[in-house]
Amino acid sequence: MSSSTYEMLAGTPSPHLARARRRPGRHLVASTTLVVIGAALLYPLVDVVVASFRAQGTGPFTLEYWRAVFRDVPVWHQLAMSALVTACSVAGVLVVSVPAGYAYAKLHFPGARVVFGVTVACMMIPVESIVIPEYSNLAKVGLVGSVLGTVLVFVGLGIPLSVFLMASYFKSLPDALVESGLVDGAGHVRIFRSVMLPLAIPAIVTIGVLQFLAVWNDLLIALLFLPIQSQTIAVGLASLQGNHILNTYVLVAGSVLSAIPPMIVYMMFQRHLVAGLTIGVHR
Amino acid sequence: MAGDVLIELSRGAGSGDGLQDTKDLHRGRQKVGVMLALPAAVLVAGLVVFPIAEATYYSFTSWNGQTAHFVGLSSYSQLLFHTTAIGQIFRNNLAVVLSIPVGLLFALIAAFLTSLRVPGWRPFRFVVFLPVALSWVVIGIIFSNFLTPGQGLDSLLGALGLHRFALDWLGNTHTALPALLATFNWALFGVNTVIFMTGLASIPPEVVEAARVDGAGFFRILRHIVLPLLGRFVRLAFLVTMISGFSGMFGLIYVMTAGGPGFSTTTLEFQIYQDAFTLGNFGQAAALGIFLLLIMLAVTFAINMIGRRRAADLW
Repeated sequence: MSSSTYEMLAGTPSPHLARARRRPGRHLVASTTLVVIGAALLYPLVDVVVASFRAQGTGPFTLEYWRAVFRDVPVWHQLAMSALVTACSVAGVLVVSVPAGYAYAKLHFPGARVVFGVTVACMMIPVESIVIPEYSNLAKVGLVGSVLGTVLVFVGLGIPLSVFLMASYFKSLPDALVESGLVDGAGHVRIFRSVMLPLAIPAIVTIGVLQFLAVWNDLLIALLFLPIQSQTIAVGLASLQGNHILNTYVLVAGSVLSAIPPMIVYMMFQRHLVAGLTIGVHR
Repeated sequence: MAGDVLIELSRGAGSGDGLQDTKDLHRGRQKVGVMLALPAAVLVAGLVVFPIAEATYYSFTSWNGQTAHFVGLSSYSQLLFHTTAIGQIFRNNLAVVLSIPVGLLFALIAAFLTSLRVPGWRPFRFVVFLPVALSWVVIGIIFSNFLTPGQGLDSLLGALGLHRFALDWLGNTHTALPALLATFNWALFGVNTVIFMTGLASIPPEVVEAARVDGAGFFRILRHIVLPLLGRFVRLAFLVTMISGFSGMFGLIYVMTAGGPGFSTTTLEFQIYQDAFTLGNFGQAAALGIFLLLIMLAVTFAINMIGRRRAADLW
């Protein structure tokens, strides 16, 4: 995929379809339908968030539930844990996946096909299928209940998709870039660092954002591999669900709070996420 | 994105057009290639491939986390013939699959309308894609509240004069699964809409233009050009949704229903967690995990085959 295709995939609707019919009445019908669908999709979210500002969800305005979140739940600690685990995992995945993607795409070494094939096949594996042996392996080396162990698991699980996306992206960059680098006397490491890496920034951002969302929003891995007293916000909230001492709207407030960082990331990088969805679809 | 996996695999991934170097450069290139690929390969081998091999082994044993005795296929036969709710669990997974086309149809309509570039398509895309940023836990907490009797949905139905549909959606064995699947499809609606929007944008204008010059009308163009060319995107959307439903929904079920009432919302994925971490039956959980993996591979393979044959018919 060339970078211009990448821009295109970042979501401009097809102009030729737009040209298919251009009647004002039709636009009105289509626009109205979109508004109705959008409103229907947003309704549950807005309804529940609004309810968290009202006593028992239907009464007068109150900030009680929002105060209670900060008072009764260790949200700051949990947010910090989420941030720590997410930052380390994203960094880890990027550091190993970007060079690997480049190696598979451009530096045809013996065995590359097989190793790449196995790596990509790992994208299919349900986490539940491997989580049990993973747990006992890490327990043997004393990494269960630690940030390091948790990050390792996230990195291992994140690599297959990231390598696949990076390789697809690097394949779309012309081989001539490598050749002219060689002619200029640069080695392969130098070409990767100075020529290819800067060109791959959009794809690197995409896999970084995908990994950020996956780790921040994960439940199972953090639940099993982090110590109970210092959990991520997702696990913290999930374990409070069904706790009858705590008002359900306190949980809603906590959920909204936990969703703020990923929402910010989403708003900043929506275009990259859209592109990332279909980066691997070939003609 | 698993569709791409098999597409990619079958095309001989990692190859591409080789660079024609002199011998020296060739050797240097291979050395750098191995060096750059090695860390990722080692991590995947240790953290994904090795555990899956172990899980396969443990599925033939009675493993409780400490000792493992070889028991052959007994975990599998136990699983298939002696688990009380296994029929129900399989039916639940089937229901997940069957709910997907319904969700995809709505997404296709939304993508088509968006592609007409009517005013407001940008904010619309922003809104529908937004759940991508939300975790299953957050979505689960929001919808649990929305569906609680006397809350959001009830009030809405009441306001519309539909009091008789005000049910305890998550507390009733007949409605819990439909409510869960509606939430699931809600969450993936935006992803699918965006996949279809990309698909629509990828259709070459010349083809549409040529058809129009030949006198084809709007619906003929839709039926004979747009929909066939969307094939691979439909496949991608279906696979992304299915993989999510089979192996990514754990958080949603955990928060909304915990698999209940009874087993009415327990899927294979959720049963693995139950077997392993509430019942301590690791051998059986491993067997179930391998089983789930095989089902997913089979479905992915089948869908790619269907897609390929269709494409062959067309040309």
